[in-house]
Order: sequence, then C-alpha cells, then structure tokens
Amino acid sequence: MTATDHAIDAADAAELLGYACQPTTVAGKHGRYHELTRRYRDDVGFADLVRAVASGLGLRVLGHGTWGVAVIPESSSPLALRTSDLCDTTDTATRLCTGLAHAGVAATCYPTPQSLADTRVITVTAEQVVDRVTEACAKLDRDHDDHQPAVSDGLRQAWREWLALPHSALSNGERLKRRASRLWFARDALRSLSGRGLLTGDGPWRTTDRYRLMVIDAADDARLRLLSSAADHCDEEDAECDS
Amino acid sequence: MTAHDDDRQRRALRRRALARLEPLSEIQPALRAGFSSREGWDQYDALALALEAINEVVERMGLGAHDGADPDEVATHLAATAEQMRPGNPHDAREAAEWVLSWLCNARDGGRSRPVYYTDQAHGWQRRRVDVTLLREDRSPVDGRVVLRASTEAVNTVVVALDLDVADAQVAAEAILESQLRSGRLDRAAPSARQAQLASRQYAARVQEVLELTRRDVAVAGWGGDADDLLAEARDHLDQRRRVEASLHDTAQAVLDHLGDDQTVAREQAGEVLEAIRDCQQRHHELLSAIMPARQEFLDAQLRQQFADAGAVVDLSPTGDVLVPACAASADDSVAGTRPLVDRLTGQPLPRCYSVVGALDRLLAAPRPDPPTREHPTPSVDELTSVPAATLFTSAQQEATDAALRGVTAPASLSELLDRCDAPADLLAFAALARLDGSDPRLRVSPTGQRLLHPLLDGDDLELAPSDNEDSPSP
Repeated sequence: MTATDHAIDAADAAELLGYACQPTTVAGKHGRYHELTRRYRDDVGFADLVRAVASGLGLRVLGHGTWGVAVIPESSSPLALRTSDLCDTTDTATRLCTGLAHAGVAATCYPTPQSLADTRVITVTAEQVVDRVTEACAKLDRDHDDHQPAVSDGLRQAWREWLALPHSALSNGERLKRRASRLWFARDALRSLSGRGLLTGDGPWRTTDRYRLMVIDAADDARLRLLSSAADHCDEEDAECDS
Repeated sequence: MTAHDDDRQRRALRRRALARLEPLSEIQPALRAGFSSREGWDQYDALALALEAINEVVERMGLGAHDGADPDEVATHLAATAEQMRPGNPHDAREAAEWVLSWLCNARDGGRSRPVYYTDQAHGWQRRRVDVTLLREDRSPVDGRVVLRASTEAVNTVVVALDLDVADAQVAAEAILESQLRSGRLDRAAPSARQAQLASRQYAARVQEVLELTRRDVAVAGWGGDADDLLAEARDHLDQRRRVEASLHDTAQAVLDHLGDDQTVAREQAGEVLEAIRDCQQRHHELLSAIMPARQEFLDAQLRQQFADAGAVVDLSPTGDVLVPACAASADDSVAGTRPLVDRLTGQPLPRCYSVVGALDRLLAAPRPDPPTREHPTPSVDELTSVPAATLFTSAQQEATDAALRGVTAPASLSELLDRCDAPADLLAFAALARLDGSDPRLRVSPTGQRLLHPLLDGDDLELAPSDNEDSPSP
C-alpha cells in the first residue's frame, strides 16, 4: 500500500466520522455514507483506522447498523456537547430539571438491563417520562437524607426542584409555559433527542438503535441506576398494592 | 486477443455508442406524441433541433469545469431555428425549443441520467445498463447561476465519430486541412477547419471529463490507471497539435497574404480558416495548461475533499458596507442582510455529539457554592453610618485611624492623609466625614470643593486642620 493509498483511506475514515457526527443523516438514504458504513463493517483494517481517527478526535465508536455509525464523545473532546447546547439558560433549576428529564427518557425507554437487549422500536410519550421521573424522585426524596454520600448534590437538588414543579402549566395561549412544569421538561428532552436523530417523531416518539446503543453505554452510570432502581421499586410497591 | 475478439469488441463498442444516443432516436416520436393536438407542430424537426442545441451548447462551453452555456441564450437561438422551420409562430417556436432542451436534460426525471439497456456482444450478450446524459444543468460555482453543459456523448453526436479515436480524428482533420491549404482549395479548407475545430472540442471534452472526475472524486478517477494514461497521452498529443497548428496558421496566413484584394470570397474563406485555427490553438493551450498540473491537482483534490470549500475572500468594509446600511434598514431587513456575513465570519459550527453520560454530567452537576465571604468585607455607606465601627473593623484598624487623625497638626487634605497613613481608607474617610459637624473639638473639617484623589473612594475631598482652640496656647 502506498502513502497515497493510506491518505485516501484516512480521508475515507474521516469522511465516515463526519457523517457519524450528523446523526440525522441516515446511511440508507445516502449513497456515500452507505458505502463507507459497509466498508467499516466488512474491512477490519478500515474499521481499525476509523476507530483510531475517532480516538484522535476524542470520539468512541459505539457500533454500526444500516443507519450508519454511532459515535459518542469523551468529555474532553472538542466535539462533546456543552451545557449551552442542551440547556439555553444559566438558571440552575432549569439545568437540573433538564438533566433529570434526559435521564428520565433513558430510564423510561429502557427501564431494566434486560430491556436494553430488545432491539425493537420503543414508543415513548412525555407523560410516561414525567410519571417515571416523578415516582423515582418521590422515592429518592423519601429514602435519602442530606448526608448520604451515594447521592450527588446535583441529583439531590435536581429531584427537589423537580418535585417543586407542577405536572403541567399552561400559558395564556394554552401552550405549555416554558420551563414551568414537569411536562414541559419531558417534552423538551424528547424533542432535543429527536432533533439529534436519536428518537424519531414528534409525540409519541420512537427510539432508534443508535439511542439504544448510547443508553447501553451509560448503563453503569450511578445516577441512571439510582433513578431506574427507585422507579422499579415504586413499580413493585404499586404491584403489591394492586394485589 | 484474436482478430475475432477484436471485431466483437468493436461491435460491442458501437452498440454501446448507439445506446448512448437512444434519447435522440426517441425525441421525434416523443414530440409527436406530446403535441399531437397542436396544429402545425409536425413541422418541427425535433432531432434537428436537438443536434442544434447540442452544437450550440458545445460552442459556448469553455474549458473550466463548470463553464457552460446560458440556458436562456441557447433557448433563444433554438427558438430562432424552430421559427425557420415553421415561420410566423414565435410562441410555439419558443415552446418547442424549451421542450427540446428539457428533453435533452431529462428534466422530466429531475435532470438525472436516463438509464438505457443494451446487450453486450463482447460478454456473451449480457444485458447491460448505461446511464445517459446529453445535456445537464450545472450550477456555476462562481455566481451560482444555472448553466448548460454537454456530455462527451453529446459532443460525439456533433462530430459523428462514434467509435473513432478522437485524437486520430483530429490528426486526420488537420492533415486534410494542410493539404487543402497547400493546394489552394480554400472552399474545401473552410469546412475542414471547422471539422478540426469540432474534433478539438470533442477531445477537450474527453480530457476535461477525466480532470473533473479527478477533482470530484479521486477514488473513482483511478489514478495510475486510465486517467494517468489519458493525461500522459494528452500531453504528447497537445504538444504535437501546437506544432502542427503553428504550421497550419503560417500556411493559412501566407495564403491570405497572397490573395488579392479583389478575391473577396477566397479572403473570407481564408479568414474563416485562420479563425478556426486560432480557436483550436487557444483551446489546446488552455487544455495543456489544465493538464500540466493535473497530478498535483489530484493530490490537492484529496486534501480538498476532506474540507468544506473556503469562503470567498471579499473586500468588505464592516462599517461602510454592513453596519451603516444595517442601521438605516428596518430590523427585519438588517437581520436578513447581516446574517450571511455573520455566518461567514463565525464559520461552520462544530457538529457536537450527544452522549447520555456526557449530558448527565453537564446537566446534573452540583450547583457551584457561593463565593467565600471576606473576613472584613468592605462596608457599605449604610453599614458605616448605622453599625458601630467595632463590629466591622478590628481594634488595631480603629486605633490606626484615631492615630492618623490625632497626627493632623497642620492643615492637610483627606487625599494626602489617605496617601500617607496605614489606616483602612474607608474607615478613615468615614471618621473624617463624621467630624464635618464639628463634633471633634480638636479637628476642623471642611469640604475643599476638589475631588478626592483615591483609587477606591470617590467624592469631594475634605480639608482637615487642627482646631483654633488647639493652635492657641492655653492661658
């Protein structure tokens, strides 16, 4: 292989990562992306090269499918999302509630480790996310005092802010008032994920395989586990009550 | 390869060439079918109009990868030709002209190539598909306008050299022209010169296609294979053309010089030949200039394909060209007008990537604690006037302030005092202010009308002086 061949391969690898960084672009609808994804699948050497280039950019390849290649950034990557990309205000309560809503979407779509193995499309509504997060927050608030080290200060303050919010609050125009209710935060998180190509639709929303891979990657996250287990416990309590 | 194989290859090549012309063979029936209800439309020869359109586009095409013919100009020319076929109906002629252009561009299918199927004799009568484009609409990268360009297949139709080597065709045309010029047969030399001109255009189109393909996608161009060979051959071929054309030019010029003023027709013919030769020379010169750096261009293209086009450099005055007009315009207009510039200046935003953990890290981060409070924060004026100094300052600071005031034995401004003593400036200033009402029998305090000279305090300066009682000796 000549130096020119190497250069062409590197250009191809970078081009593939360029597509992967635009998750709303789907390989099946884009000839070149499709061709590069197939090459990533079939050519081990090329796949190694793609992962190496990704690593240099602070990215990690999570997997691939007919939709393309999924990457996530390390926290130090210049391509990592900043807080301002996720939340358009510096208000702490808004930021924390947005974070809980994002965690809530993941926990609602994939409530158990077993559910992560299910590759079917999951349908999710904003109301389901609100219910899941609210149940978990109520349980966490009941069970955890201020000094339990297992809970981060951010999460603790987040669930208190969440519980202080009404379920929904309408503006004069009968629309949801911005940043004023649990339902608004849940809808905002779902729309944000949809805008990034991780969910589809505009209520109800549907999961993509790319999003499933991302939640699998985050499955060990303590905050997500705490949120899921608290909600699971509520489910069990409810089940016992029903019986 | 046996002679039989070679023959089979040739036949397959011809069939393939004819397949590429299929849109032309279908154009007349399509016009008849589409306009059967329109009276007099059978007088339009769609095939002749198509050939005229291709010829017109080829003539107007330059050497740049995206140079092309103005569609409106081509349609106007074509409408004039159609008008000659059926005089007195200019609107119909224009409509027919535009229909022919849209057929050649395959506008019905969004301008995409037409798939045409044929059987390949050279490979066991295998059914093959060839995507045919005759004319296509390109966007000029310079000004964004739409231009028409002819494909190599289209150029082939003009010279009708379906399986002829284009380079050979050009050499042959030149040889014929040379012979005609030398024998003085100018009436025949003029059409031969035009033939040589077309051959040179056809050749240019073929080389350009390779160059453009290289620019567009270096991987497809297959450097080291056909593209490399073609360009190497082209360099040699064009070098030879330049020599031959120089000789032809000299010959034609000599013929013209020897013609008498009364030989008007012959002079016109010789002039036409010279013009055609000069056109060939110019085209070949430009083509050679394009080919010479082709290898470097290939390497550059590799780099370029990885990055977006750099924005055009414009000579722009942000104040005169943007700010002043924006201020004078309505809010909506000024936003619309300045946004493209702002987008250009700020560049493309980075495509940021989502991750669940990253989002939770950022969004659920613990709120920052309030900044630590100072041991002795600078008191506000309200605090100074309402809270005893002992709660805000240490006893040492209060003693230093008292000592500074006691040390005033001659008139001095507060600015000077602040400058030379160690007491806290705000406490000293307050202590001086508190004595304005004459409450201290030892010190006389009065405003100077000047401004206080201190980096942290602001207000009128004060004059501090020992009271007269103190100055006068006690009885």
